[in-house]
Amino acid sequence: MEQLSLRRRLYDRGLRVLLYLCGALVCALLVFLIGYIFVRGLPRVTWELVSTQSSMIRGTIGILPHIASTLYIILVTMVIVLPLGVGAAIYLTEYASNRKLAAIIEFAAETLTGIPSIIFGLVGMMIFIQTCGLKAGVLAGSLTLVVMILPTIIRTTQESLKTVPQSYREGALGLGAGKWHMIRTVVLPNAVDGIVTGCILAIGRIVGESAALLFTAGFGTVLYSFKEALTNSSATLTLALYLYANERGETDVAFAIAAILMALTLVINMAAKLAGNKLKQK
Amino acid sequence: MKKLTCLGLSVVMALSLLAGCGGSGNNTASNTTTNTNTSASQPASTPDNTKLSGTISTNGSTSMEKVILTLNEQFGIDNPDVKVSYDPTGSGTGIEAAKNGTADIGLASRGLKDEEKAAGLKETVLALDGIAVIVNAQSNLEDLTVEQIAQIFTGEITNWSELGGADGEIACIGREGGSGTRDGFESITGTTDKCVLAQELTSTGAVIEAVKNNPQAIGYASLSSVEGKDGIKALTVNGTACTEDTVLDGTYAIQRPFVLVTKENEPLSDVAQAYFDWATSSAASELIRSAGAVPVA
Repeated sequence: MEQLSLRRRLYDRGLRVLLYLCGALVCALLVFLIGYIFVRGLPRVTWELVSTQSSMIRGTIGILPHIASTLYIILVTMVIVLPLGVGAAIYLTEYASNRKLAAIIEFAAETLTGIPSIIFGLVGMMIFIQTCGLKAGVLAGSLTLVVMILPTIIRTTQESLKTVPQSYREGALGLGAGKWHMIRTVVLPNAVDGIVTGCILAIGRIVGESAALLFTAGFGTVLYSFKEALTNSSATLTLALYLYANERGETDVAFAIAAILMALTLVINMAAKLAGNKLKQK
Repeated sequence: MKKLTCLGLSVVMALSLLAGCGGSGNNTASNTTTNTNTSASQPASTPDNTKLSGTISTNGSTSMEKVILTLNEQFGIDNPDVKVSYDPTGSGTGIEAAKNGTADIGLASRGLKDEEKAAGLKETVLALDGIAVIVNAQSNLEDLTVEQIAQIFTGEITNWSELGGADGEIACIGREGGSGTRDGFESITGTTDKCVLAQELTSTGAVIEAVKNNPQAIGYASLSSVEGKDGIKALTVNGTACTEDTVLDGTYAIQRPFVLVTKENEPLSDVAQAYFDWATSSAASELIRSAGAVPVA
């Protein structure tokens, strides 16, 4: 090391300091963002806020309807997207004999993941609301999200299916198992950790989505039962945040919702990690 | 290992089974909701005619938010089985929603245009509303004439000092093209399509927020939304303050109607009709007044 010239040592140091700075800056940004949101938001998170619906007459604000519709949307979307996405992925990796077709579908799915979500919202409004005549609500919102999330689910499932060694499949088939039996008993159980992680991340994406729901889920602030919510405008937490920050100028409430959303995202990401590790271990 | 794989497998299977059921279940659920919605329009099937149930959707003007939410809430209290939703999207979208049936009742804070009426839409005036001209609370300005307002918004007057205020460049805050408030403001001040705006915002709340945060700003917003807001103040126009009385007797110049938009030829569902009748009757006057608008019934 001592043979290095002064110039080179300085250069080396300088670069190192710069890189440290980059790292520190990123960390500082993250800490600042999380801290700022929690400091501004958490004091406004009260029991009244999360357990009631807004009342114009009494002048109170509550976000229970938005929590409910967020849960409804997660439920409906996952219930539709899971069998579709996992099924498509199984077909693409295990059955599709036409490699070219499979490649095209994979390419399409990959391209779809990169499309800005507002476009899904616009198309969703055109198709589900204007053409199919659904009213803005959980169902229209969920169907839009299904289209949006389907490629993600297909990709993550495919990736985890590909990690299952080919020899497992050959072994199962060699022992006389049928193809579906082989997939069901050998391939899927070995890929389940990836699928579950993908699903949890997809839920995270649903929770955080606003643009695709802007036109399709509506801005309703009334608490509905599950059945009513399907076809009645119900704002999710993200839409409620937009609503309170933009339309009402209630920045405090918006920050309270932001804090709740942050906490929720944190929990979801941790759950994804945990589930992935747990399922991989066995 | 085997046991665990079995377990994992059964979880996956159970999930996908559930998923399949749920998927079709949802479809039927949505069908039944629409069925109940339509059957609600035949009161003969229910023995008790006075007991209303179902859902009503309203969609449109953000200026009407306070009025409509107040009405919706009270109607929900009076009829526990009825839920009335409101989507704050803007008058243009509200009229569109009434036209293509995505909402039961459209809300517009302007009268319908002739071509909209020709498309089979009907307007019913629910209330009158003043458009308050607002500035930051720190401003020392108190009064403007309609001409001065027009000059400010068309860019002829660009500095507060020209109006006797402190030196500072005026920032005009306006609304987006579909807004009923913008339509009302521009048609009354004669500035249609001539406004030079520093910011064009998409909701009443956003305009108020922008004026609150900028000492040089001037904007316009519904009287019902401006009342009781801190950080801004409403100017008098031609010496007249924007209040319910001056709006009703017509002395306050900048005002427009709050309109319920329905289809001419298609009857509302029973529950929506009941809501419509109630909202436009004198029974709702006090609520409309409490929300800051001026009832006409």
